[in-house]
Amino acid sequence: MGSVEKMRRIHEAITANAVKRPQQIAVYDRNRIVTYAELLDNISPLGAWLRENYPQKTRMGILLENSYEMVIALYAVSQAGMISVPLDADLHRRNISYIVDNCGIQTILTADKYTNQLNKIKEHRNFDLLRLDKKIRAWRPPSAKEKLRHPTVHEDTACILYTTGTTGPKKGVMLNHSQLLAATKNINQFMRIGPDIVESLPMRLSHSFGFARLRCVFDVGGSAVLENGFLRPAQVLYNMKMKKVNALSSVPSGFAILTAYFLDFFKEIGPQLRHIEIGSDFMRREQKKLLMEICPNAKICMHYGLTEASRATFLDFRRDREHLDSVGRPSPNVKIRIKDENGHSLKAGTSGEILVKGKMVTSGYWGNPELSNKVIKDGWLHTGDIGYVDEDGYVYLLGRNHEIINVGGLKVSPVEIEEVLLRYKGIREAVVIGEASPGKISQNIIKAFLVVTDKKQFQNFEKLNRYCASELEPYKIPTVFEVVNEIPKSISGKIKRSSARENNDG
Amino acid sequence: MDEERIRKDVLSLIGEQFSFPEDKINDSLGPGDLPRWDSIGHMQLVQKLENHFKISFSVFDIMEFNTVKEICLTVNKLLEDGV
Repeated sequence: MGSVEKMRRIHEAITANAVKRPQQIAVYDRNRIVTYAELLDNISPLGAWLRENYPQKTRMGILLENSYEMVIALYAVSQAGMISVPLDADLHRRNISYIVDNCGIQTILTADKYTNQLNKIKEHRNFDLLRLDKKIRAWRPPSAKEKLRHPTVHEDTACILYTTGTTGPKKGVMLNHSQLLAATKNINQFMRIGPDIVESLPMRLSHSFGFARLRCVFDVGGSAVLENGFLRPAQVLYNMKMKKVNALSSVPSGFAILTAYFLDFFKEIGPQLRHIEIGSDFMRREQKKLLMEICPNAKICMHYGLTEASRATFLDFRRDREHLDSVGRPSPNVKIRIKDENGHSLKAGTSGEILVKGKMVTSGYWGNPELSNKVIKDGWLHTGDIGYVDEDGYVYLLGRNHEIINVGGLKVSPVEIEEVLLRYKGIREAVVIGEASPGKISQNIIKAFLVVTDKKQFQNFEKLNRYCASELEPYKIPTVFEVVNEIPKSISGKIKRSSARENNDG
Repeated sequence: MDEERIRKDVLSLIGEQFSFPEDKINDSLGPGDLPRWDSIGHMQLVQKLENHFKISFSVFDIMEFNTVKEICLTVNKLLEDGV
């Protein structure tokens, strides 16, 4: 187990490893190899500069792809006692603007490739841009006096991670140092990784899953091999082979790409893997079994969790072979309860809302105490997810939060897409659902049903596609459009998305 | 098949796969540059290219698929080699 027990703030893992194992490789990023000593040398001056130039608790946006600069930004902001607000590299301008306004971002740490987009947002807002790709080597080291200023405490918010709301706008989940460290501790206690870990990290560091993996690796003094998703899957595998990677974390669609298109190469690499973490989406039983065959020496763990409660449960594929359809049992130091709509606890086998309690649970949503109080009561997070716990303590997930569509682990609000579609000339009504992709990879795609004023204008969807591409993040663009005569509604006139889904299945 | 014809077919398959007008696709575009050119879309394109040209890419070929130009060059090479 790592040193997380003694830590009070997340960046202390870097300092501890820079002292304990300075020459150990911390990060592989394309052609760059960085030791813990070098990592600390790059984080500290930036942290000191930030401290000198901004007040404590300043919200610092971070818009960077998975890269060494991203690692520096996350940990320097922590070291400076500020709050990081990671922004997805493919976020639409509208959503970046919303987040900037919502939590009052004063500065965005970024790189050249995003400055055009950010400058457009800056036309109507007042925030600074700091280009890390340019300045990373120019920060001066901190003075001893600077090091002593603004001590951060572990109850201070360390980051705000924005998640998709079902109907309303994105919600800023606040996580303090204690909560982030508790999640790290729980994961490492379950997975039992050590300083010899060399982990391929294709998951976004701007999301809960990827950021937690990075913290887990740094907690034990291991090495992180940074990747940008599976956009170049062959390169991910090649890097795993060349860098002798022994751990991998991904959403199920990442593993589906590797098994569907690179099976032989993956089989060659599989035996070198010792630890695998999977999360954020449903994985079919046969995929789980295939992964066990390909990676015979790996402890394969799958989690269920939310940004609000990272890794609420864990399933160990081999240990829990008889319960592969469950999401596992509560993670170490985490409690799960199932309650009915009146708040009564339900017995084993009875389905209801899943509630989670643990030190990693968020303290609430930024600027929204009303929602925070509604969702977190007496330390219990009301997930909105439906499930049950069986006699052996395994949690079975029956349905996730309301209407959210899961596209390869990315959460999509149908309402957001419907609002964009309704702004398009000629569309009178729109309803959006998720449906299983017909291809080799099992993943949801987005389907939009449209009621239009003139069907002749919608004989092909080329213009509508272009419009969607300009208004939505790539993974939110509907893959299928279908013009229908009517959309089912309730008596009050509200769209019945569930009926649209049933009609589609039928 | 000549180089120009291969390029035309590749552009057509990319346009079809990612619902993007062919005339707006240029040689320097690559994975992540078009709205639907994500990891799964990329692999579906690879499969489409294999079926259309009746060729089979190796892992190392796919690793070189960083731009439209590189895709065209690889297809061209495989067709010449008769792989």
